[in-house]
Amino acid sequence: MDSSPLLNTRDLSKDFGGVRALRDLDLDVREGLIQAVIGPNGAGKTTLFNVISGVIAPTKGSVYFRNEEITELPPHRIAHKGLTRTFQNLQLFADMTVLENVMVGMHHRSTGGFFASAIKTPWVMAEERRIRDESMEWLRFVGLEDHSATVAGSLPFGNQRVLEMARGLASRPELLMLDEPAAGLNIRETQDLAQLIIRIKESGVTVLLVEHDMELVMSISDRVTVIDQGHKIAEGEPDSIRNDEKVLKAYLGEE
Amino acid sequence: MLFTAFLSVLPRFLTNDYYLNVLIFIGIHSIIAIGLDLLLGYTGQISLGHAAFFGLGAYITGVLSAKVSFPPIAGLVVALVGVGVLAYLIGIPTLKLHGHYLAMATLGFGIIVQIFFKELGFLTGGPSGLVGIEDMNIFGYEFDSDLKYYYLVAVSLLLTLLLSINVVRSRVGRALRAIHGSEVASSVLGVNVSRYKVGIFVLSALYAALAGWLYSHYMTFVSPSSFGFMFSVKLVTMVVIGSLGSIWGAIFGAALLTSMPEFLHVFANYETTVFGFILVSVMIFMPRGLLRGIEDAILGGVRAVRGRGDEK
Repeated sequence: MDSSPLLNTRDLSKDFGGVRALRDLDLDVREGLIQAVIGPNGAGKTTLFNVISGVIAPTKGSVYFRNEEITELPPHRIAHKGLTRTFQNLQLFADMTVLENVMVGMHHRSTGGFFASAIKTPWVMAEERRIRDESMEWLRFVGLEDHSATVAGSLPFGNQRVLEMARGLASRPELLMLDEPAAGLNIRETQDLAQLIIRIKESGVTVLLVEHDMELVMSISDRVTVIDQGHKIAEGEPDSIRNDEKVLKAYLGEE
Repeated sequence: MLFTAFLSVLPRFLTNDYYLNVLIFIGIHSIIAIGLDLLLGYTGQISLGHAAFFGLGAYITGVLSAKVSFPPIAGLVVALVGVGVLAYLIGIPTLKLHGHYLAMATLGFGIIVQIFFKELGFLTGGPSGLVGIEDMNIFGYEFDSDLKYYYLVAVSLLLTLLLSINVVRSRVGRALRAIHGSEVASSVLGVNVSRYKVGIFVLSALYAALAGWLYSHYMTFVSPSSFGFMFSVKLVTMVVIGSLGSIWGAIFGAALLTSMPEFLHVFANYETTVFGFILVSVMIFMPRGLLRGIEDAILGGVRAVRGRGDEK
């Protein structure tokens, strides 16, 4: 498989006051793979996601997407480049329907503005139909098509997680970052999630995953990066990571 | 459609001109309330300064009419452009703020504008007000009776309503509601959050300016006290009481808050007390606003009846 780098970080550092959440982190994500980032609590995984997606600015270092620097870009510009994410603490649009949530995902792939929408040009109406139809497709892809008219906030928790993924997919990203997608899911739901993530990869989307559920990580990931206290301590295929001494020490030392 | 028919036949049922006068004010307030609801109810951004945009619309056209005999239609164009540009410039820095801070910033803006109305006496007539604003005429057609003016306001309201409903039910409306739901999630999906916030702020200010224009040429007199902080609060109350995030709710709230003081005259000295009591009761028993509250009550009733039917 051709595995050219899709995302790179170089010397990425982030300080919160005296706390160094990330320290000179070099991460390379190759195209077409599922890559997991794991590490003990407080290792800096979520900070890493926030910095890459532009939600917070790094103290030092750079982020490259397809060899183009995206470090200082605001999140919506990064989304336009083909990178989106989900959130560990769900960030659904709770008062909107399931379908509308996915339709927002198609925002940057459509163009109707204030004026055209206000006077309802035929062009805007056609675009609206396209958005609706394609969003339904994404709901079918994740298996939520029967809930399209439900208010997102009243979905069961597991479905809300899946909906966030559908919403992200609707923006047609090249890289989808999943922030602890299995948190709070039961075993059955986690198995379904694993299948879904594999199908996402098969559809041609690269997946970067932060996850605590080791079984899930080891079963679906192509590559695993381990970070501890903001440092990368190991990287490789799941099997090699499983037996890496430094990794064992980081995890066992914590507990 | 139904609403158009309703508005066009409504005057026939009125027994005197005084009620027509109340209806005109309801219409004017509805236009501002709809705009404020787009900002507050849909996008989740508060403004305690909308009376200022209303006032600016009224004063700009008023001053042009009284001092240099501008025709009202030209006054409208200048008012819309002026208020639009000002709202854009004010919106860029203030909408970076959230919650209480945004409330304070817009509040401050409203107070500053009111001070200008009072202090620029050579233009605005100062605290005692601006007189000599011409009657409304559009390309020579005089709106010389309350009934004619009512229809002018009704058409303006319908236009505002139609545009707003279209915006709300579009990609733009979804983006606005998404920002309300989660700014960070909207932005990682490609929504330019600050651009949409400023955009809707400008649009709602334009509605207020349009309402100010209608007000100015109806009253032919404006004074600073009509555009103060208390009126901004009243506008927010209209939107909240009516139902946040519902355009019909905004009209409902405007109608209620504009007409209620008229009905409450019977309580004489206790008018304000009764008014306050009604507002508090609505918020306690129908926290989602009157319109949704009534909707919920009807739906609840229907369900209860159906439920009983199922048991048999």
